Amino acid sequence: MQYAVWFVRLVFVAWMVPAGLNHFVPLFPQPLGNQPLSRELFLALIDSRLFTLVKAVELFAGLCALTGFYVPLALLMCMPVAVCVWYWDVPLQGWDSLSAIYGWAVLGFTCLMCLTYIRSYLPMLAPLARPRSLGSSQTPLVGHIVLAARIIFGAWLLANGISHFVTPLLAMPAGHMPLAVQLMTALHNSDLIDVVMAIQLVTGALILAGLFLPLALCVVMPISVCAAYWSVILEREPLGALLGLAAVGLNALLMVACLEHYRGVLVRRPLALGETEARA
Amino acid sequence: MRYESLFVDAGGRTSRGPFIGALIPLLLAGAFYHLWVFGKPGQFAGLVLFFPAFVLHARRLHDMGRSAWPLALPVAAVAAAAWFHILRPEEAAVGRPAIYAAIALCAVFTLWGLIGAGESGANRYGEPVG
Repeated sequence: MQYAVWFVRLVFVAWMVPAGLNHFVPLFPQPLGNQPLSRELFLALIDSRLFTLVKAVELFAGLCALTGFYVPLALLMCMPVAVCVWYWDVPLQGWDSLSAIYGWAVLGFTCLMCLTYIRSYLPMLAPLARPRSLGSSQTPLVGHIVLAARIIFGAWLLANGISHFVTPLLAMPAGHMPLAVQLMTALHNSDLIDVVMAIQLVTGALILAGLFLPLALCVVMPISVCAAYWSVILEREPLGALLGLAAVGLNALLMVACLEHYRGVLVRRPLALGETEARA
Repeated sequence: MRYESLFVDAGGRTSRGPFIGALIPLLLAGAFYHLWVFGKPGQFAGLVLFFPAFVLHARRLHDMGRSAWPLALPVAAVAAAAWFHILRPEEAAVGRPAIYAAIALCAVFTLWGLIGAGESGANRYGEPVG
């Protein structure tokens, strides 16, 4: 078992480090896409500098896996990037394209890597996790704040999802600044916005219902961060920026309230499947 | 055994059995990139794998009671080969012999690790383990 785990890890490391580094130190040509939608999305990511964030996460995950430093956390950060890479390589570039092989490989090896650290993620997958108070002592006031944050954040996400798929409840911002419009247009044209909204719909419902809370918060965090980036850095409209930051704040607050469920992810050097503490 | 103690921490010792066990996934990962990832992405992936390979061989030399300094030879050879093969592909006349020299040197050290006997007792790199 451990040999298979090490093989997966070495393949993952050897891909992520050069792929991430390539953006900062040009090593080989970066594929730009050869389909209209993939090219449009790629240019929007480059122009908005979100691609720099993507590549920084890849490099960070690769270096963490190479050096054995907070690997489960790095993998968790890398998972949304792997999903986006898959979406770009497979549905946008074409299911039968050469890119699709790379898309499946990146997503597959990232999932396999997560599977090798499944013990670290198990507490996060608790179906009926109850958020605790912030700090050491449980006080009613803090408990009420956490409950209010959960209801507001969950309802907000759910309303966003319903607005997109069922009936307009909240106005969907299209943007006014050129980069904000470019990115939002690319998200709509590539249908990636549907994925985003579907995630918001499901996670919003789960957060409101109190089911799989740590997992739902973790899944929606990259979307909260990207929404805040869009509203604060690209759109720069005060109310939108405030809402974007509020979404990240609520998401982070609830994650801190569920911190005990993330402890496995925050271990510096946990054992992977098949590994033992005995030194070789 | 764990990944970090074989492929990350160059300070300790690795006996022959675990060395062979760790060498197999390392070689398979190298073969994966050599066979299925073409061009520079595959070549740079191979270069990244050189780090865990270096650590693994350093630990094996330590187990034999030797310093890891001789590994400077294959490191220099691989660096030169990478320079010519990846960054100066037009200089193939120099690059190709450099690659063969690097492969040969690496093979010598791997063979040494495979057949060399580890020290039975504690040495300056620690207790025998594995």
